[in-house]
Formats: sequence, C-alpha cells, structure tokens
Amino acid sequence: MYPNDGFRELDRSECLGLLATVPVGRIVHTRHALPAVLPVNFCLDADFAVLLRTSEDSELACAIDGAVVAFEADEVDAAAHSGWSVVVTGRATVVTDPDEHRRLSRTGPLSWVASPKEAFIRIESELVTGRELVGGRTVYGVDLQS
Amino acid sequence: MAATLPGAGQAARHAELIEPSTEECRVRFLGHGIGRLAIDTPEGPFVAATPSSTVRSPLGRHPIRTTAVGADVAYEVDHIDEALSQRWSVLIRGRAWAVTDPDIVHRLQALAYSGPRAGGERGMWVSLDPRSITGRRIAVR
Repeated sequence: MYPNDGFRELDRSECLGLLATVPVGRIVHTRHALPAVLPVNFCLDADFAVLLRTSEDSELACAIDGAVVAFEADEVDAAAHSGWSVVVTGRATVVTDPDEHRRLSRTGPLSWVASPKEAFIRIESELVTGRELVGGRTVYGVDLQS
Repeated sequence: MAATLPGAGQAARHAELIEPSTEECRVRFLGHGIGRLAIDTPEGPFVAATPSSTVRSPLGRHPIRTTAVGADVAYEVDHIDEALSQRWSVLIRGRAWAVTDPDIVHRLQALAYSGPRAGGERGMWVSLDPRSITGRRIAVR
C-alpha cells in the first residue's frame, strides 16, 4: 500500500521531464496580498528555468518582476485518481538583455494574445517538487483496495 | 525539451479575450474536476492540484495545513481546447475554513467516496468561502 495515501514524491529530474511534456502551466503569484493563478504558455530553457511570454506592460509582468513565484503544471484524471503535478518555485525576472530577448523571440514560448511589445519572464527553478498520483490499481489492473 | 514551435515567429491570429459573467464562471467551475489551490506563505506562494467538486483538500497531509486555514486563498480551474483554439479559466478567492462539524464531514465523506474507495481516505476538509469569482475566456480565430 502507498504510505502517502496514493501518491509518491518525484525527484527533480522526473519533475522537469514531465514539465517538458505540456505546453501550458499556471503562474501563481501574490496580487494585492492575495494569491492569483493564471494559465500561461511556457517552455523550459536550457538551464530548466521556466520561460513565459507576456505583453511588456501587462499587470503580470509588473507584479512578478523580482518576486518569488510558483509555477504549476499537471495532468490529472480525477476519476481514476491518476496523473501528476509539478511545482517550480523561484524568483521571476523580466528579461532585459536585447540579445536574450532576440533569442527568446525565436525559440521561446508562444503567447496566445499577441501584443506590440512583448516581454519574456524567467522563473529560476530553485525548488522543483512533484507528485505522481496513483490510482488504487497495480499496472495489471488489480484493485489494491480489495 | 521544448524547441522552436511551429509558427513561433508569426503574429498570432486574432485573439479575443472575454471576461465571462460570474454566473458563467460558476457554471464552468461546478462542471470541473481538478483545480489548483494557491496559498501565500512566507516562503512564497504554495500551490497544489486538488479535486474541487468534493471540496476535499490534500492539505491535511501537507505540512502547511495550519497556514491555509483562516487564510485568504485562491482556487483555479481551467480548460484548454486546442482543437477549438479556446481556453478558459476561473479563479475563486476567499477565506479557507476547516470543516470540523462531524455531521458535515460525514456527509462530505459519503458524497466523495461512494465507490470502492469508501471509508479509505482521511484528510482535512477545507471549505472555501468565496469572496470573488472571476474568469477569462480566450478564443483565437
């Protein structure tokens, strides 16, 4: 039986591997002292920082520049109690270097809503945690609860 | 590893951003299974994926449970439909309270676990007292 009530903790490399398989995650930050959650397109940079693309003067860019944020992605099947969830926590910075900006314009994440002046945000993957949910079944489909 | 996406250098198609009514947000939220609970902590924001319709939280098994109760939290659900080029998200914010009334806990357990897992799981039930329900819908044409 699973000591942690149906999930296991993932190590950093497992987490980053799963993160690379989905195009959308959620940025979690504090706005007016209240937490806010927003789905965003992202990708991982070569050093595994999370990269977001937003309009330069967006409320998001202003709110999180220099702040510690969390970034979450998951694929969960509620009915089957299976799937995974990964959270990256780290400091967010708006990319200001023009060469970096150019590089990311070519290789960085898409933004769903285009804007005339775009900014890239990096979230350092300082803390990476994740869980894999396990349905009450073995790989052979036997119900472990019975 | 995510590399250059097809069309990454092209301008986006026309994207329409809509702020749905509270009622639409509520309807979308109620139909959804998994969301993310977000709490502000001294170490930074904490977020966990957790089922919504059961109002159950894994917080009972998390070391920061005492931080969440009585705190202002956010709960978010979203859906991305690549085929329709549409996405929506709903954000509920309010105060989190631990459900301690044994009759209510019993009723919630029964609602949540009517199948083979009945009686199996324990954990803390957290009720979210919604102060605001907002959302966004983006459609790309």
